[in-house]
Amino acid sequence: MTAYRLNNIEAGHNGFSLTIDDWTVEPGSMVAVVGPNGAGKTTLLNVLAFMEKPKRGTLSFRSRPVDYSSPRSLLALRRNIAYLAQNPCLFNMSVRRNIEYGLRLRGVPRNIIGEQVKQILEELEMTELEHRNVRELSGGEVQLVALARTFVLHSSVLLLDEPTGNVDKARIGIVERRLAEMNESDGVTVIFTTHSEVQARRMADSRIHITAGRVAVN
Amino acid sequence: MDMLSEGLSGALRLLLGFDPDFTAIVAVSVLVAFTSTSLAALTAVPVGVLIAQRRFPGRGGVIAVLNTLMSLPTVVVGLLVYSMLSRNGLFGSLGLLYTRTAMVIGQWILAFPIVAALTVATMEGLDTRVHSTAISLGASPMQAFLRLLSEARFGIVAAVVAGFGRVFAEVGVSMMLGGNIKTYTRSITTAIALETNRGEFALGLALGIVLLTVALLVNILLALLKRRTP
Amino acid sequence: MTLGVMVLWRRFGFLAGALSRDNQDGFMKAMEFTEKTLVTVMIGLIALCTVHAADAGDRSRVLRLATTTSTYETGLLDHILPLFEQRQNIKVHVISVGTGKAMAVARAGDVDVILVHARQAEDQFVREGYGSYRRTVMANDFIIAGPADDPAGVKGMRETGAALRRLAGGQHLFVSRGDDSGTHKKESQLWAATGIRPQGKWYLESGQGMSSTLTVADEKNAYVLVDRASYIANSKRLRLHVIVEGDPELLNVYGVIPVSHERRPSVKTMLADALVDWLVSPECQKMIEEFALEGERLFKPASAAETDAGDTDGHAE
Repeated sequence: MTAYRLNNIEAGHNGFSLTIDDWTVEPGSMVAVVGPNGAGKTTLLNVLAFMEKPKRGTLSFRSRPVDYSSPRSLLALRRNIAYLAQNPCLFNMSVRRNIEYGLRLRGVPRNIIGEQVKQILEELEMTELEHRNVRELSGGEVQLVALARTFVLHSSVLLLDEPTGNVDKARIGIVERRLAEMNESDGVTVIFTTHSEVQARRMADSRIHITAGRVAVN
Repeated sequence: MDMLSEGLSGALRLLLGFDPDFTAIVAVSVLVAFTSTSLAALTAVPVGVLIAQRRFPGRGGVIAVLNTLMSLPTVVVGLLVYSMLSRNGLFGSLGLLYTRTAMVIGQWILAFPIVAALTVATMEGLDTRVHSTAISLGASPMQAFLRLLSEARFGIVAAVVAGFGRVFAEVGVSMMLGGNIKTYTRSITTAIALETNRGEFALGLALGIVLLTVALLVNILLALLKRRTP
Repeated sequence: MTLGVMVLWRRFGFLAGALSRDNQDGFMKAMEFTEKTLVTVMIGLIALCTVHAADAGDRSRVLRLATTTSTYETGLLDHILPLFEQRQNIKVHVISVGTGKAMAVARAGDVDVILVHARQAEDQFVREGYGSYRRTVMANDFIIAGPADDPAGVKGMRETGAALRRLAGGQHLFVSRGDDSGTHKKESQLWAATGIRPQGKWYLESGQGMSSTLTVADEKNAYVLVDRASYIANSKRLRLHVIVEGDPELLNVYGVIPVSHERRPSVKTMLADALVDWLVSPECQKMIEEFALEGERLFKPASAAETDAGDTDGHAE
């Protein structure tokens, strides 16, 4: 079984187009998507997160082609993954409620939500933020909460658009360590974008490069 | 000067002694304004949300009209509704003129554009990423929509409070449609406008104090809500 | 009420939608958003129901009386109506407007009875069939009030026409109601009799009720035509003096007219007739006669006005 398989895909809008002839993501791998701004990294992640329908081609998730005609199955697919969008927006409520949001959508019982939120706050060393309102947070803290909101879902697939983009230098290590742990011990498939070749080499076991909508698979 | 000091001491007596005439007037104002504002909230908020969410031809025109109607003169509303509710009018058979219900209808029309227009502004002022972020976290379209509404909650409450502020302080509609009938449709504003003629200066002042206090509370509430909006 | 139910249905409609389209947590989410607003909404609906119930419950036991500002602002009605309301177990809703407006409202069928003072207009109202009949209730007289120093020098004149001519000739400030009220109609008649059409900077139209108009005249040191009851009721706060009085032309008679049930079927004839009967009853007449403000009686009973005021019966004509 493959995690993702992309076949002859073309995606994008407003004149921009991203093409991928053939690309497979194995379960449990850690993939870095590298490329300059505007190359199509975000479009690729949107496709992988079932947020954007490709103009042509076939996307398979866990060896099954995605059925774009059924909103119901798309919703189910989206709930199978955890997606951190680029430049994320937090909701106007406490940090804790923001982190709970995805779990509540998935109908996780309240007591389990409580435990998991507590756990993720400790893992990312941000317990002091729990009851703060998001309007009081710094840019780095916002990114951290958005990461926690994604990690807490404990999905088998993590899609992260610039995960450490805004994070303070001191905390980048914490985030990267946590990602490596999830990938190695829990077998989580991680696909993240970065424009840092150094970070890509440090973290990932495979890398793809995107330049102006063209994908080169290493 | 003499008139003012005498009036003030009389006003305090009324305020502190819960004079029955005085409390009846305040009760009418509160009841009617509260009912009309609730009706406006129930109708204008969904309309505002719809306008903010949907794209349709003439949408800009609708918003412009709502914004204009926000400053609709109360006496014009009074006149229009009067002509419909009078026995000669379209809905004359209901016999609603000079009733509290008539006041509620008139005030509802006054509050509706305010609540709707401010709801539209609030929804359009929301971060455009809210919806897609909710979807990316696994929200269904309905859940994402509720998330949007929830993000707008302080703004929507502020819109309703602003509507209440307007109808509570208006006099034209209450006067023309209510008729200033004692203990029935005599509200704070109609009493101030008409009863001071009868030399009820203390009553007018006491009611004025209530009106000012409510206006102050409404504004404090609006300021607080504004602070909580991102 | 229908509206409230429709709106309520909408609310629950989308809750139901969340329940059916998604799973249990969709419902939870919807509940979470609505729980706060729902309370407000329910209170609002309850309040609306109360307003409606109060309106509907009352409506068959409510009599609407449109009357002039002069009878209302003096407090006379607060004096004579409670006993009637108590005996009949009804409420009288008093709408205080000028005579002209009172008749317009009655023509539209928005009130059941009018208590006014403009004899010619009243007779026409009955002749046209809008009023069933007319009964004289009480009378007093008009006076011309003005500044104490009487710049026009009309004080003590017995003949109103001569006084008005002198006011116009000297262009002395005069405040008119200008609102088609009974007092305004009387004033117009008096001017018409002099052959003068009052206009110019000295002739001010307030467009307001009697008390407000008196205030305007007082503040501007002007002359004004006013019924004696309103003058006495407001005299404490005014510097205006009685300048001209005693002319038979200045008689001010109040009549009550129930609106015709044939013309306006919504009118509550029984209650309207009962109110007329009460107003002309010896008991009420005595109350009217004894009603006093500032130690002065304001109105004379109907018997004192009988000199020129007969009653009419619309059906007889």
